[in-house]
Amino acid sequence: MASGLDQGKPLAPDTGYVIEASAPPTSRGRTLWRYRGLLGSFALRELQVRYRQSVLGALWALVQPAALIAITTLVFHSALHVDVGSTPYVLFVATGLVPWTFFHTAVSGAVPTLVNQAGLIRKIWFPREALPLATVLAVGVDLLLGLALWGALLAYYGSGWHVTLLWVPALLAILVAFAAACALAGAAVNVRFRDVKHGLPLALQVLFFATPIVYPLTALPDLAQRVAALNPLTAVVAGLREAAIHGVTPDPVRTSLGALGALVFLVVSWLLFLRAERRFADIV
Amino acid sequence: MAAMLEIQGLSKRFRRGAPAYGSLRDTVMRLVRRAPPPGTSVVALEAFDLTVEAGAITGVVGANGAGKSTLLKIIARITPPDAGRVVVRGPVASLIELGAGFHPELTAAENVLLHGSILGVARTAMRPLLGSIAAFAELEDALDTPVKFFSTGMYARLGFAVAVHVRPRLLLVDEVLSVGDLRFRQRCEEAIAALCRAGAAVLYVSHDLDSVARMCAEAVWLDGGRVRARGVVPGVLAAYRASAAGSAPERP
Repeated sequence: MASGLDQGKPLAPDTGYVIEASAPPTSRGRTLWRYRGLLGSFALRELQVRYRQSVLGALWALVQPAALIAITTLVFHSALHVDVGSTPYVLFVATGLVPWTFFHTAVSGAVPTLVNQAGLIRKIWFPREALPLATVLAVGVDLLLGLALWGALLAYYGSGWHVTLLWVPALLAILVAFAAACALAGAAVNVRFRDVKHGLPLALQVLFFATPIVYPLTALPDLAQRVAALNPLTAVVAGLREAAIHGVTPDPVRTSLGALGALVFLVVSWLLFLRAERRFADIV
Repeated sequence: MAAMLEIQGLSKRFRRGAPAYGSLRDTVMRLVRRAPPPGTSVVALEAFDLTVEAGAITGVVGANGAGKSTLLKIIARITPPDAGRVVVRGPVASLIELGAGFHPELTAAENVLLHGSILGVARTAMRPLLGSIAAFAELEDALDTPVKFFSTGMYARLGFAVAVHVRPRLLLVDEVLSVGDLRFRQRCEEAIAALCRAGAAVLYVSHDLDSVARMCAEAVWLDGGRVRARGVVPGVLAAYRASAAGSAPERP
Protein backbone atom coordinates (compact mmCIF):
# COMPACT_ATOMS: atom_id res chain seq x y z
CA MET A 1 0.00 0.00 0.00
CA ALA A 2 2.85 2.40 0.74
CA SER A 3 3.96 1.71 -2.83
CA GLY A 4 7.08 -0.28 -2.16
CA LEU A 5 8.58 2.11 0.37
CA ASP A 6 10.00 -0.82 2.29
CA GLN A 7 12.33 -1.79 -0.52
CA GLY A 8 14.84 -0.21 -2.82
CA LYS A 9 17.78 2.08 -2.45
CA PRO A 10 17.60 5.78 -1.63
CA LEU A 11 17.23 7.99 -4.70
CA ALA A 12 19.45 10.79 -3.46
CA PRO A 13 23.14 10.11 -4.11
CA ASP A 14 24.04 11.63 -0.73
CA THR A 15 26.03 9.16 1.36
CA GLY A 16 25.94 11.09 4.59
CA TYR A 17 27.91 13.83 6.27
CA VAL A 18 29.61 14.96 9.45
CA ILE A 19 28.65 18.17 11.25
CA GLU A 20 31.10 19.87 13.58
CA ALA A 21 31.05 23.22 15.30
CA SER A 22 33.72 24.81 13.13
CA ALA A 23 34.36 22.89 9.93
CA PRO A 24 31.95 23.24 7.01
CA PRO A 25 30.06 19.98 6.42
CA THR A 26 31.80 17.61 3.99
CA SER A 27 33.58 18.58 0.83
CA ARG A 28 31.86 21.38 -1.02
CA GLY A 29 32.90 20.45 -4.53
CA ARG A 30 31.42 16.96 -4.26
CA THR A 31 28.22 18.28 -2.72
CA LEU A 32 27.76 20.84 -5.47
CA TRP A 33 28.27 18.18 -8.11
CA ARG A 34 25.62 15.97 -6.51
CA TYR A 35 23.21 18.88 -6.45
CA ARG A 36 23.96 20.11 -9.96
CA GLY A 37 20.36 19.44 -10.99
CA LEU A 38 19.10 21.87 -8.35
CA LEU A 39 20.56 24.90 -10.15
CA GLY A 40 18.64 24.00 -13.29
CA SER A 41 15.53 23.24 -11.27
CA PHE A 42 15.51 26.61 -9.53
CA ALA A 43 16.22 28.39 -12.83
CA LEU A 44 13.40 26.49 -14.52
CA ARG A 45 11.09 27.44 -11.67
CA GLU A 46 11.89 31.11 -12.25
CA LEU A 47 11.24 30.84 -15.96
CA GLN A 48 8.03 28.87 -15.40
CA VAL A 49 6.72 31.41 -12.91
CA ARG A 50 7.89 34.61 -14.57
CA TYR A 51 5.36 34.90 -17.37
CA ARG A 52 2.41 33.08 -15.78
CA GLN A 53 -0.77 35.11 -16.13
CA SER A 54 0.85 37.56 -18.58
CA VAL A 55 -0.49 38.04 -22.10
CA LEU A 56 2.75 38.81 -23.92
CA GLY A 57 4.64 36.07 -22.06
CA ALA A 58 8.23 35.49 -23.10
CA LEU A 59 7.88 38.26 -25.70
CA TRP A 60 8.64 40.65 -22.83
CA ALA A 61 12.23 39.44 -22.94
CA LEU A 62 12.47 41.06 -26.40
CA VAL A 63 10.22 44.07 -25.85
CA GLN A 64 12.19 45.33 -22.86
CA PRO A 65 15.67 45.56 -24.43
CA ALA A 66 14.24 46.83 -27.74
CA ALA A 67 12.42 49.65 -25.98
CA LEU A 68 15.49 50.46 -23.89
CA ILE A 69 17.69 50.64 -26.99
CA ALA A 70 15.18 52.87 -28.76
CA ILE A 71 14.77 55.31 -25.89
CA THR A 72 18.49 55.49 -25.16
CA THR A 73 19.13 56.24 -28.84
CA LEU A 74 16.54 59.01 -28.73
CA VAL A 75 18.04 60.63 -25.63
CA PHE A 76 21.77 60.27 -26.21
CA HIS A 77 21.90 60.39 -30.01
CA SER A 78 18.99 62.49 -31.27
CA ALA A 79 18.84 64.86 -28.29
CA LEU A 80 22.35 64.96 -26.80
CA HIS A 81 24.35 64.09 -29.97
CA VAL A 82 26.92 61.83 -28.30
CA ASP A 83 29.74 61.35 -30.82
CA VAL A 84 30.51 57.71 -31.60
CA GLY A 85 32.27 58.18 -34.94
CA SER A 86 30.97 56.44 -38.03
CA THR A 87 29.12 53.64 -36.17
CA PRO A 88 25.30 53.94 -36.20
CA TYR A 89 24.37 54.90 -32.62
CA VAL A 90 21.65 52.25 -32.38
CA LEU A 91 24.19 49.50 -32.97
CA PHE A 92 26.75 51.21 -30.74
CA VAL A 93 24.42 51.47 -27.76
CA ALA A 94 22.80 48.05 -28.27
CA THR A 95 26.27 46.50 -27.97
CA GLY A 96 26.50 48.03 -24.50
CA LEU A 97 22.87 47.70 -23.40
CA VAL A 98 22.46 43.98 -24.13
CA PRO A 99 25.24 42.86 -21.75
CA TRP A 100 24.32 45.61 -19.26
CA THR A 101 20.66 44.57 -19.15
CA PHE A 102 21.75 41.01 -18.37
CA PHE A 103 24.08 42.20 -15.62
CA HIS A 104 21.53 44.55 -14.09
CA THR A 105 18.63 42.08 -14.18
CA ALA A 106 20.73 39.17 -12.93
CA VAL A 107 22.31 41.03 -10.00
CA SER A 108 19.23 42.91 -8.85
CA GLY A 109 17.23 39.70 -9.14
CA ALA A 110 19.79 37.46 -7.39
CA VAL A 111 20.66 39.66 -4.42
CA PRO A 112 17.28 39.35 -2.61
CA THR A 113 16.76 35.62 -3.38
CA LEU A 114 18.02 34.35 -0.01
CA VAL A 115 15.92 36.80 1.98
CA ASN A 116 12.84 36.29 -0.19
CA GLN A 117 13.07 32.56 0.33
CA ALA A 118 13.84 32.66 4.02
CA GLY A 119 11.10 30.09 4.59
CA LEU A 120 12.92 27.58 2.44
CA ILE A 121 16.29 28.33 4.04
CA ARG A 122 14.92 27.88 7.55
CA LYS A 123 13.33 24.52 6.72
CA ILE A 124 15.47 22.58 4.26
CA TRP A 125 19.16 22.16 3.66
CA PHE A 126 20.56 22.53 0.14
CA PRO A 127 23.64 24.30 -1.25
CA ARG A 128 22.50 27.90 -0.81
CA GLU A 129 24.50 29.18 -3.80
CA ALA A 130 21.89 27.53 -5.98
CA LEU A 131 19.38 30.31 -5.27
CA PRO A 132 21.34 33.39 -6.49
CA LEU A 133 23.14 31.44 -9.21
CA ALA A 134 19.85 30.07 -10.56
CA THR A 135 18.62 33.62 -11.05
CA VAL A 136 21.76 34.41 -13.03
CA LEU A 137 21.13 31.28 -15.10
CA ALA A 138 17.48 32.14 -15.72
CA VAL A 139 18.35 35.68 -16.78
CA GLY A 140 20.93 34.08 -19.07
CA VAL A 141 18.00 32.90 -21.19
CA ASP A 142 16.99 36.55 -21.66
CA LEU A 143 20.59 37.32 -22.57
CA LEU A 144 20.31 34.82 -25.43
CA LEU A 145 17.19 36.60 -26.72
CA GLY A 146 18.96 39.95 -26.31
CA LEU A 147 21.92 38.62 -28.28
CA ALA A 148 19.55 37.56 -31.05
CA LEU A 149 18.23 41.11 -31.18
CA TRP A 150 21.79 42.42 -31.19
CA GLY A 151 22.69 40.00 -34.00
CA ALA A 152 19.82 41.38 -36.07
CA LEU A 153 21.02 44.96 -35.55
CA LEU A 154 24.55 43.86 -36.36
CA ALA A 155 23.39 42.29 -39.63
CA TYR A 156 21.44 45.40 -40.60
CA TYR A 157 23.75 48.23 -39.46
CA GLY A 158 27.09 46.42 -39.19
CA SER A 159 29.98 46.39 -41.61
CA GLY A 160 29.81 42.65 -42.33
CA TRP A 161 30.70 39.59 -40.28
CA HIS A 162 34.23 39.73 -38.91
CA VAL A 163 36.26 36.70 -37.88
CA THR A 164 36.92 38.55 -34.60
CA LEU A 165 33.32 37.68 -33.65
CA LEU A 166 34.94 34.53 -32.27
CA TRP A 167 35.94 36.68 -29.28
CA VAL A 168 32.31 37.21 -28.31
CA PRO A 169 31.91 33.98 -26.24
CA ALA A 170 35.05 34.79 -24.23
CA LEU A 171 33.79 38.31 -23.53
CA LEU A 172 30.40 36.94 -22.50
CA ALA A 173 32.15 34.53 -20.14
CA ILE A 174 33.72 37.53 -18.37
CA LEU A 175 30.25 39.09 -18.17
CA VAL A 176 28.64 35.99 -16.64
CA ALA A 177 31.50 35.43 -14.18
CA PHE A 178 31.29 39.02 -12.98
CA ALA A 179 27.50 38.85 -12.65
CA ALA A 180 27.76 35.57 -10.69
CA ALA A 181 30.38 37.10 -8.39
CA CYS A 182 28.22 40.16 -7.67
CA ALA A 183 25.16 37.91 -7.19
CA LEU A 184 26.91 35.68 -4.62
CA ALA A 185 28.51 38.51 -2.67
CA GLY A 186 25.41 40.69 -2.77
CA ALA A 187 23.04 37.90 -1.73
CA ALA A 188 25.27 36.83 1.19
CA VAL A 189 25.74 40.35 2.51
CA ASN A 190 22.03 41.12 2.07
CA VAL A 191 21.11 38.35 4.54
CA ARG A 192 22.92 40.22 7.28
CA PHE A 193 22.73 43.83 6.17
CA ARG A 194 19.46 44.89 4.63
CA ASP A 195 21.28 48.13 3.74
CA VAL A 196 22.12 46.31 0.53
CA LYS A 197 18.50 46.53 -0.56
CA HIS A 198 18.67 50.31 -0.47
CA GLY A 199 22.21 50.70 -1.74
CA LEU A 200 22.03 48.30 -4.67
CA PRO A 201 19.86 50.35 -7.08
CA LEU A 202 22.13 53.33 -6.48
CA ALA A 203 25.30 51.29 -7.00
CA LEU A 204 23.91 49.85 -10.23
CA GLN A 205 23.01 53.31 -11.48
CA VAL A 206 26.54 54.57 -10.79
CA LEU A 207 27.99 51.51 -12.49
CA PHE A 208 25.77 52.11 -15.54
CA PHE A 209 27.25 55.54 -16.10
CA ALA A 210 30.77 54.44 -15.12
CA THR A 211 30.68 51.79 -17.85
CA PRO A 212 31.09 53.09 -21.43
CA ILE A 213 27.57 52.06 -22.51
CA VAL A 214 25.99 55.25 -23.81
CA TYR A 215 29.34 56.87 -24.64
CA PRO A 216 32.61 55.51 -26.12
CA LEU A 217 35.51 54.68 -23.79
CA THR A 218 37.68 57.15 -25.74
CA ALA A 219 35.38 60.01 -24.69
CA LEU A 220 36.91 59.75 -21.19
CA PRO A 221 40.18 61.50 -20.20
CA ASP A 222 43.24 59.23 -20.02
CA LEU A 223 43.19 58.76 -16.26
CA ALA A 224 39.46 58.01 -16.22
CA GLN A 225 39.99 55.44 -18.96
CA ARG A 226 42.51 53.65 -16.75
CA VAL A 227 40.14 53.68 -13.80
CA ALA A 228 37.29 52.45 -15.99
CA ALA A 229 39.47 49.53 -17.08
CA LEU A 230 39.27 48.17 -13.52
CA ASN A 231 35.59 47.49 -14.14
CA PRO A 232 35.22 44.12 -15.91
CA LEU A 233 32.10 45.44 -17.65
CA THR A 234 34.30 47.96 -19.48
CA ALA A 235 36.33 45.09 -20.91
CA VAL A 236 33.10 43.37 -22.00
CA VAL A 237 31.40 46.35 -23.65
CA ALA A 238 34.49 47.89 -25.27
CA GLY A 239 35.67 44.43 -26.32
CA LEU A 240 32.31 43.57 -27.94
CA ARG A 241 32.46 46.81 -29.96
CA GLU A 242 35.98 46.09 -31.16
CA ALA A 243 35.26 42.47 -32.05
CA ALA A 244 31.79 42.78 -33.59
CA ILE A 245 31.61 46.31 -35.00
CA HIS A 246 35.19 47.25 -35.89
CA GLY A 247 36.48 43.76 -36.65
CA VAL A 248 39.62 44.11 -34.52
CA THR A 249 40.93 41.95 -31.68
CA PRO A 250 39.80 43.28 -28.26
CA ASP A 251 42.54 45.23 -26.50
CA PRO A 252 44.62 42.45 -24.87
CA VAL A 253 45.62 44.37 -21.71
CA ARG A 254 42.11 45.64 -20.95
CA THR A 255 40.54 42.25 -21.73
CA SER A 256 42.91 40.16 -19.64
CA LEU A 257 42.60 42.65 -16.78
CA GLY A 258 38.82 42.34 -16.97
CA ALA A 259 38.94 38.55 -17.11
CA LEU A 260 41.35 38.34 -14.19
CA GLY A 261 39.33 40.82 -12.15
CA ALA A 262 36.06 38.96 -12.72
CA LEU A 263 37.67 35.61 -11.87
CA VAL A 264 39.35 36.80 -8.68
CA PHE A 265 36.15 38.51 -7.57
CA LEU A 266 34.19 35.32 -8.26
CA VAL A 267 36.51 33.21 -6.10
CA VAL A 268 36.52 35.76 -3.28
CA SER A 269 32.72 36.12 -3.40
CA TRP A 270 32.23 32.37 -3.28
CA LEU A 271 34.52 32.01 -0.27
CA LEU A 272 32.68 34.84 1.46
CA PHE A 273 29.39 33.13 0.66
CA LEU A 274 30.53 29.79 2.10
CA ARG A 275 31.73 31.48 5.27
CA ALA A 276 28.44 33.30 5.77
CA GLU A 277 26.22 30.44 4.66
CA ARG A 278 26.12 28.41 7.87
CA ARG A 279 24.48 31.25 9.76
CA PHE A 280 21.91 32.17 7.11
CA ALA A 281 19.09 30.24 8.77
CA ASP A 282 19.81 31.91 12.14
CA ILE A 283 19.70 35.50 10.92
CA VAL A 284 17.69 35.58 7.70
CA MET B 1 26.97 -1.92 10.90
CA ALA B 2 27.48 1.61 12.17
CA ALA B 3 24.48 3.57 13.43
CA MET B 4 22.62 5.74 10.95
CA LEU B 5 22.78 8.75 13.26
CA GLU B 6 25.37 9.45 15.95
CA ILE B 7 25.35 12.61 18.05
CA GLN B 8 28.00 13.46 20.65
CA GLY B 9 28.14 16.43 22.99
CA LEU B 10 25.90 18.64 20.90
CA SER B 11 25.42 22.16 22.27
CA LYS B 12 23.83 25.29 20.93
CA ARG B 13 23.00 28.63 22.47
CA PHE B 14 20.81 31.38 21.10
CA ARG B 15 21.02 35.07 21.84
CA ARG B 16 17.86 36.47 23.26
CA GLY B 17 17.02 40.13 23.32
CA ALA B 18 18.74 41.98 20.52
CA PRO B 19 18.65 40.17 17.19
CA ALA B 20 21.80 38.61 15.75
CA TYR B 21 21.71 41.06 12.89
CA GLY B 22 21.44 44.80 12.71
CA SER B 23 22.22 47.66 10.47
CA LEU B 24 25.70 48.10 9.09
CA ARG B 25 26.13 51.07 11.43
CA ASP B 26 25.46 48.95 14.54
CA THR B 27 28.04 46.37 13.52
CA VAL B 28 30.67 48.96 12.68
CA MET B 29 30.11 50.72 16.00
CA ARG B 30 30.39 47.40 17.84
CA LEU B 31 33.65 46.58 16.08
CA VAL B 32 35.01 50.01 16.91
CA ARG B 33 34.09 49.71 20.58
CA ARG B 34 35.01 46.01 20.76
CA ALA B 35 31.79 45.39 22.63
CA PRO B 36 30.27 41.92 22.79
CA PRO B 37 27.03 41.36 20.88
CA PRO B 38 24.06 42.61 22.90
CA GLY B 39 21.49 40.38 24.57
CA THR B 40 21.75 37.39 26.86
CA SER B 41 22.30 33.89 25.63
CA VAL B 42 19.99 30.97 26.39
CA VAL B 43 20.74 27.28 26.14
CA ALA B 44 18.90 25.58 23.29
CA LEU B 45 20.76 22.30 23.62
CA GLU B 46 23.47 21.22 26.06
CA ALA B 47 25.86 18.25 25.76
CA PHE B 48 23.30 16.14 23.96
CA ASP B 49 24.18 12.55 22.95
CA LEU B 50 22.06 10.20 20.87
CA THR B 51 22.49 7.18 18.64
CA VAL B 52 19.78 5.93 16.30
CA GLU B 53 20.36 2.60 14.59
CA ALA B 54 19.09 1.76 11.13
CA GLY B 55 15.50 0.55 11.39
CA ALA B 56 14.81 2.28 14.72
CA ILE B 57 12.38 5.08 15.49
CA THR B 58 13.38 7.28 18.41
CA GLY B 59 10.82 9.66 19.81
CA VAL B 60 11.70 13.11 21.15
CA VAL B 61 9.26 14.73 23.58
CA GLY B 62 9.34 17.86 25.69
CA ALA B 63 7.66 21.18 26.30
CA ASN B 64 7.78 24.09 23.84
CA GLY B 65 11.28 25.55 23.79
CA ALA B 66 12.90 22.38 25.11
CA GLY B 67 15.26 22.20 22.11
CA LYS B 68 13.49 19.59 20.00
CA SER B 69 13.32 21.65 16.83
CA THR B 70 16.83 23.01 17.30
CA LEU B 71 18.05 19.42 17.51
CA LEU B 72 16.38 18.53 14.21
CA LYS B 73 17.64 21.69 12.53
CA ILE B 74 21.22 20.95 13.53
CA ILE B 75 20.98 17.39 12.24
CA ALA B 76 19.41 18.66 9.00
CA ARG B 77 22.35 21.11 8.49
CA ILE B 78 20.05 24.11 8.68
CA THR B 79 21.78 25.69 11.66
CA PRO B 80 25.29 24.96 12.97
CA PRO B 81 26.01 23.72 16.53
CA ASP B 82 28.33 25.58 18.93
CA ALA B 83 29.98 22.35 20.02
CA GLY B 84 29.73 18.65 19.42
CA ARG B 85 29.57 16.33 16.48
CA VAL B 86 26.87 14.74 14.34
CA VAL B 87 27.50 11.84 11.97
CA VAL B 88 24.80 10.97 9.44
CA ARG B 89 25.30 7.87 7.29
CA GLY B 90 22.81 8.27 4.47
CA PRO B 91 20.53 10.67 2.64
CA VAL B 92 18.23 12.71 4.86
CA ALA B 93 14.69 13.95 4.38
CA SER B 94 13.58 16.46 6.94
CA LEU B 95 9.87 16.81 7.49
CA ILE B 96 10.23 20.01 9.47
CA GLU B 97 7.56 21.70 7.43
CA LEU B 98 5.70 19.77 4.77
CA GLY B 99 6.02 21.27 1.33
CA ALA B 100 8.42 24.04 2.41
CA GLY B 101 10.03 23.86 -1.02
CA PHE B 102 6.81 24.27 -2.97
CA HIS B 103 6.23 27.31 -5.15
CA PRO B 104 2.58 28.45 -5.09
CA GLU B 105 2.43 29.29 -8.81
CA LEU B 106 3.74 25.92 -9.98
CA THR B 107 1.53 22.88 -10.49
CA ALA B 108 1.69 19.90 -8.16
CA ALA B 109 3.65 17.89 -10.71
CA GLU B 110 6.16 20.71 -11.31
CA ASN B 111 6.55 21.08 -7.55
CA VAL B 112 7.22 17.38 -7.08
CA LEU B 113 10.13 17.57 -9.52
CA LEU B 114 11.40 20.80 -7.91
CA HIS B 115 11.13 19.40 -4.38
CA GLY B 116 12.96 16.27 -5.52
CA SER B 117 15.91 18.32 -6.72
CA ILE B 118 16.00 20.23 -3.43
CA LEU B 119 16.35 16.81 -1.78
CA GLY B 120 19.15 15.96 -4.22
CA VAL B 121 17.18 13.71 -6.60
CA ALA B 122 17.41 14.37 -10.34
CA ARG B 123 14.22 15.28 -12.23
CA THR B 124 14.67 12.23 -14.44
CA ALA B 125 14.64 10.02 -11.34
CA MET B 126 11.60 11.80 -9.90
CA ARG B 127 9.39 11.71 -12.99
CA PRO B 128 8.64 7.95 -12.88
CA LEU B 129 7.46 8.38 -9.28
CA LEU B 130 4.85 11.02 -10.12
CA GLY B 131 2.04 8.48 -10.38
CA SER B 132 2.78 6.75 -7.13
CA ILE B 133 3.33 10.06 -5.29
CA ALA B 134 -0.02 11.35 -6.56
CA ALA B 135 -1.69 8.10 -5.51
CA PHE B 136 -0.20 8.24 -2.02
CA ALA B 137 -1.24 11.89 -1.60
CA GLU B 138 -4.67 11.11 -3.17
CA LEU B 139 -4.14 13.97 -5.61
CA GLU B 140 -4.29 12.09 -8.93
CA ASP B 141 -6.71 14.64 -10.38
CA ALA B 142 -4.84 17.68 -9.08
CA LEU B 143 -1.37 17.10 -10.55
CA ASP B 144 -1.80 19.92 -13.06
CA THR B 145 -3.26 22.38 -10.57
CA PRO B 146 -1.06 25.18 -9.16
CA VAL B 147 -0.56 24.41 -5.48
CA LYS B 148 -1.72 27.89 -4.49
CA PHE B 149 -5.23 26.47 -4.92
CA PHE B 150 -4.51 23.58 -2.54
CA SER B 151 -5.87 23.29 0.98
CA THR B 152 -3.45 22.91 3.89
CA GLY B 153 -4.18 19.20 3.99
CA MET B 154 -3.50 18.69 0.26
CA TYR B 155 -0.27 20.66 0.60
CA ALA B 156 0.86 18.51 3.52
CA ARG B 157 -0.10 15.23 1.82
CA LEU B 158 1.92 16.13 -1.27
CA GLY B 159 4.91 17.24 0.80
CA PHE B 160 4.91 14.07 2.84
CA ALA B 161 4.47 11.86 -0.25
CA VAL B 162 7.54 13.42 -1.93
CA ALA B 163 9.71 13.14 1.17
CA VAL B 164 9.06 9.42 1.69
CA HIS B 165 9.20 8.49 -1.99
CA VAL B 166 12.83 9.58 -2.32
CA ARG B 167 13.47 6.78 0.21
CA PRO B 168 15.71 8.61 2.71
CA ARG B 169 17.85 6.70 5.18
CA LEU B 170 17.30 9.24 7.94
CA LEU B 171 13.88 10.81 8.38
CA LEU B 172 13.48 13.82 10.65
CA VAL B 173 9.82 14.30 11.55
CA ASP B 174 8.82 17.45 13.44
CA GLU B 175 5.19 17.59 14.45
CA VAL B 176 4.07 17.69 10.86
CA LEU B 177 1.52 14.92 10.89
CA SER B 178 -0.78 16.96 13.10
CA VAL B 179 -2.05 18.96 10.12
CA GLY B 180 -3.56 15.94 8.38
CA ASP B 181 -6.79 14.12 9.16
CA LEU B 182 -6.86 10.81 11.01
CA ARG B 183 -6.76 8.73 7.82
CA PHE B 184 -3.76 10.62 6.46
CA ARG B 185 -1.92 10.26 9.74
CA GLN B 186 -2.42 6.54 9.71
CA ARG B 187 -1.06 6.34 6.18
CA CYS B 188 1.94 8.46 7.18
CA GLU B 189 2.67 6.24 10.15
CA GLU B 190 2.48 3.18 7.90
CA ALA B 191 4.84 4.80 5.39
CA ILE B 192 7.34 5.69 8.12
CA ALA B 193 7.22 2.12 9.42
CA ALA B 194 7.79 0.84 5.88
CA LEU B 195 10.86 3.06 5.47
CA CYS B 196 12.18 1.65 8.73
CA ARG B 197 11.79 -1.89 7.52
CA ALA B 198 13.95 -0.87 4.55
CA GLY B 199 16.66 0.29 6.97
CA ALA B 200 15.89 3.94 7.60
CA ALA B 201 16.36 5.55 10.99
CA VAL B 202 13.72 7.98 12.20
CA LEU B 203 13.80 10.80 14.72
CA TYR B 204 10.20 11.48 15.65
CA VAL B 205 9.35 14.74 17.38
CA SER B 206 5.76 15.04 18.55
CA HIS B 207 3.51 16.46 21.22
CA ASP B 208 1.08 13.63 20.48
CA LEU B 209 2.29 11.17 23.11
CA ASP B 210 -0.08 8.42 21.94
CA SER B 211 1.49 8.62 18.51
CA VAL B 212 4.99 8.44 20.07
CA ALA B 213 3.91 5.41 22.09
CA ARG B 214 2.58 3.73 18.93
CA MET B 215 5.55 4.49 16.68
CA CYS B 216 8.65 4.40 18.85
CA ALA B 217 10.48 1.83 20.92
CA GLU B 218 12.73 4.38 22.61
CA ALA B 219 12.32 8.02 23.45
CA VAL B 220 14.19 11.02 24.84
CA TRP B 221 12.60 13.68 27.02
CA LEU B 222 14.21 17.08 26.53
CA ASP B 223 13.80 19.86 29.07
CA GLY B 224 15.56 23.21 28.72
CA GLY B 225 18.02 21.72 26.24
CA ARG B 226 19.04 18.88 28.55
CA VAL B 227 17.98 15.24 28.67
CA ARG B 228 15.59 14.61 31.58
CA ALA B 229 14.91 10.97 30.77
CA ARG B 230 15.69 8.46 28.07
CA GLY B 231 15.06 4.79 27.40
CA VAL B 232 12.08 2.62 26.55
CA VAL B 233 9.00 4.62 25.66
CA PRO B 234 6.57 3.79 28.51
CA GLY B 235 9.00 4.89 31.21
CA VAL B 236 10.00 8.14 29.49
CA LEU B 237 6.41 9.10 28.68
CA ALA B 238 5.27 8.30 32.23
CA ALA B 239 7.99 10.55 33.66
CA TYR B 240 7.15 13.34 31.22
CA ARG B 241 3.42 13.08 31.94
CA ALA B 242 4.03 13.09 35.68
CA SER B 243 6.16 16.21 35.44
CA ALA B 244 3.64 18.02 33.24
CA ALA B 245 0.83 17.08 35.63
CA GLY B 246 2.89 18.26 38.59
CA SER B 247 3.72 21.69 37.19
CA ALA B 248 0.27 22.34 35.72
CA PRO B 249 -2.35 20.38 37.61
CA GLU B 250 -5.37 19.29 35.65
CA ARG B 251 -8.48 21.28 36.23
CA PRO B 252 -11.25 19.56 38.12
